[in-house]
Amino acid sequence: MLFNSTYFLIFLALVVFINFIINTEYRRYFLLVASYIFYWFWDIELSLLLVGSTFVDYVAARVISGAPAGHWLRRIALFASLLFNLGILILFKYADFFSSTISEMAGVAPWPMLDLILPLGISFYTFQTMSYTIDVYRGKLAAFRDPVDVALYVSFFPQLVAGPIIRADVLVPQIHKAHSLQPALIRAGIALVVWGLCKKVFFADAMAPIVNEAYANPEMMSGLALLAATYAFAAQIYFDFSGYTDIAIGSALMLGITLPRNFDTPYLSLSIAEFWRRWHISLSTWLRDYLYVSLGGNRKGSARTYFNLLITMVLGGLWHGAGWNWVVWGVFHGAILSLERMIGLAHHRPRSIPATALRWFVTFHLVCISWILFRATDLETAVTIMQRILFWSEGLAFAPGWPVFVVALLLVVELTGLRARWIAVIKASPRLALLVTLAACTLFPLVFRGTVNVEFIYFQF
Amino acid sequence: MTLRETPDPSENGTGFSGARAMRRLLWDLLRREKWTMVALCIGLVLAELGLRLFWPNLAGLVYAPDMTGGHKIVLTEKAYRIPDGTETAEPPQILALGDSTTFGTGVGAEDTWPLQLNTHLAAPVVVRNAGVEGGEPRQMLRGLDTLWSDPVPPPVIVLMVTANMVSFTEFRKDTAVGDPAARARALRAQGPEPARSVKTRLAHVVQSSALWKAVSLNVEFGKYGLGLLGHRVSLDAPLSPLLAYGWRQPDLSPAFGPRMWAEFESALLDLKTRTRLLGSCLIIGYLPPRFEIGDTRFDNLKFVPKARLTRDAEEELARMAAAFDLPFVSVGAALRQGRQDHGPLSKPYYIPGDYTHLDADGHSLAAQSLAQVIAPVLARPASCHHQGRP
Repeated sequence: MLFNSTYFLIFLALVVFINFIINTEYRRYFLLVASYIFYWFWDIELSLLLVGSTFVDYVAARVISGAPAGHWLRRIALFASLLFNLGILILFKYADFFSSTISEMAGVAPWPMLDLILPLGISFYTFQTMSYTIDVYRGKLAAFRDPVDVALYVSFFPQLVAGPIIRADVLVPQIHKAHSLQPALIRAGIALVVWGLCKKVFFADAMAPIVNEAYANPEMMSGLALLAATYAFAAQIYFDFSGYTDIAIGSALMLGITLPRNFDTPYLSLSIAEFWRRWHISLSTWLRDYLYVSLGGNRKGSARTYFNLLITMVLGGLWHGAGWNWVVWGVFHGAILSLERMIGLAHHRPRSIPATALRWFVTFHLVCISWILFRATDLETAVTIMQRILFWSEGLAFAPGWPVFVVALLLVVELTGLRARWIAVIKASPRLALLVTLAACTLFPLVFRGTVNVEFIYFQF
Repeated sequence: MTLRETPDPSENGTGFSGARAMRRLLWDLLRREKWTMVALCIGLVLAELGLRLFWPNLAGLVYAPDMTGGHKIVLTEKAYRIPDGTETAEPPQILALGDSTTFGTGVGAEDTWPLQLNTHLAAPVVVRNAGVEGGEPRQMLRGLDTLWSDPVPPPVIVLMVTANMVSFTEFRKDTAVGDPAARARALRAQGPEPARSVKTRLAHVVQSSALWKAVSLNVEFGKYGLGLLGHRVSLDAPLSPLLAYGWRQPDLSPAFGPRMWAEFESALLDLKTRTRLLGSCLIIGYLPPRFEIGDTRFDNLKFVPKARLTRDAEEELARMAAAFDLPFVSVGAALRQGRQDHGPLSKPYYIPGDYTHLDADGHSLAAQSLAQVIAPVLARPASCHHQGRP
């Protein structure tokens, strides 16, 4: 089920309503069923992977928790959990990439192309479940006795398909807590859902046709058009993903559950290190806690730190997609993070306004360069786009005013903290919340009608 | 911003739970906001009344298989569109061929340009509206062969061309030609008062509301403005009136437009040949889309990017008519003059939210323009084949 659909608005209203009228003891079961129904709108068969992941992680965590410290069974159980989760991820996401790469290099395909459908949200829920078993293995968390807790942790519908990636010790205790119906939180949830829908529908989807057209035919487009499309994509991906996150956080809040924030004004960053502290925070902290730290982090000298950064970002790139453009995207970010660390930029704030402006400009454009690698279908296309922008090539042009305006609007909204103000105003006023709800329930179905509901970009990961 | 799980102070710390709490929440909301709701309802009624007063053409726009813009569709056995209760067997002296713009989507049969022609001709003649929604020349050729030349061929045939028709000619070139009388048969089979479900009746009530139309149209224009709706032509189903205007799209071959016009030219040649054999005078009319008649935002509410149009469809058709020695008249000149004389709000000439279909005023202008070419042909049929020469 897409968040940007009339079905979801009805579904959410029903789930919130039922969540508060049924007995507390049945809520977990109800939310679990609701989460699976949410997933079944997309596919029923592939929800078996969710079941499989739940089963393996429940058993693995119970084995780890039950075995004494240092016992070999703990390692075996952790290995089994990682093998299963990474196994399904590799099978569905990377098998064809590996096969075609080996085929190109060795001339022989190790296995035929599988052309499997990528299960919705697989990258998110596998990482989430792996964090559960790793946390149990590290002793940070006791294994849950009730499989329903694990099942709901894996499938909780607001954040199932595109995060935020949440830790078990954050989500499950909230599910168990006796929820009270707090109108202010319902209003805050409504404000967030409406804010997220506005971001997605009015800005992200408005940028999509410009980006799609330019990036699908880069050889035909002028350098200016490709630059405008790259700005458009910078706006699109932010509005799309942060819009999704706002809807997820808002929906969960209406159910009495607080999800961690995933974005913190990333385009105002003055360095790439800062950008990663503000962009897709739940993924970057996951990569930091479970990969970068496991590799040794910054505890083994400068050279090893740079290497760890590079590896972490390359794997972060590959998490997004299977392709050489993702590898180069990871190398690009890892290299800049290392460079910033080397020259001391990572923790240095400029003092003058011109220096701040310059740092912002450079950082924003470095991010935009990385978005070219992110959005292009392959590395070759990304290089073509960069070349055509760099050499200001002739071709089909379109006015760059609209994308530039949307990027400017984005920055103004970020600088003024409009989101927080909007939430505060709606949270404080039942009348405004009622009017906003009525307006949203009238306007959004009309907007969704007759248009193609553009999927959220992160659904493909 | 921090969102807390603890009870909010604004609720006086009264966190409560369960079905009772939900009932209380909804009841409190309704009780506290009852005047807001009343004001909202009064506002909606006033808005509806205001719109009906100042923009009456927004109300009653119901579209259904047997209704167009709230007007009942009545078709004769020969698929002529007529006002209800005016069926006669007289063969036409003027046969109007065309697509939905001739059929009169959104207007009553009596307001369509064919049935307004007599207002602008010196002596009354029998005019028949044989417009077919989505019609294209080969379908009309079939209609001439099977329906409209019996018992005698009409002396004057007017083909009203639109950019949509040109596009349909290419799009349907590999499919079987549709039967122009099929819809007439289906419509006549269901009787004068078709049974409607409660859901359909309710939908018609909502569609009749001027406020609903105003909101849905403005949302649609907003979607075009933002880019949520666009004019991109699908390569799997290349069909758009913009193609006749040389629409430029990076993944669409530049040869597509010329090929499409060549296909239309071939179909038009067939139609011309057949009408000559029948001894009829074929007159070509052209009706431009609304974005071609003015440069204001009101005339281009769907944000057609005109910079991407590389061809003048009107000129192309005029050239074709001249080459075939066919009388040609474009309604564009009259519509542009009308736009200079009247603002786009006072006389839009097109039905609300539409850039293809004319309203009653637009149909009147079309009839007036065509009458200037038809009148001399009616007076002296021999003059037909010399008017098309440039």
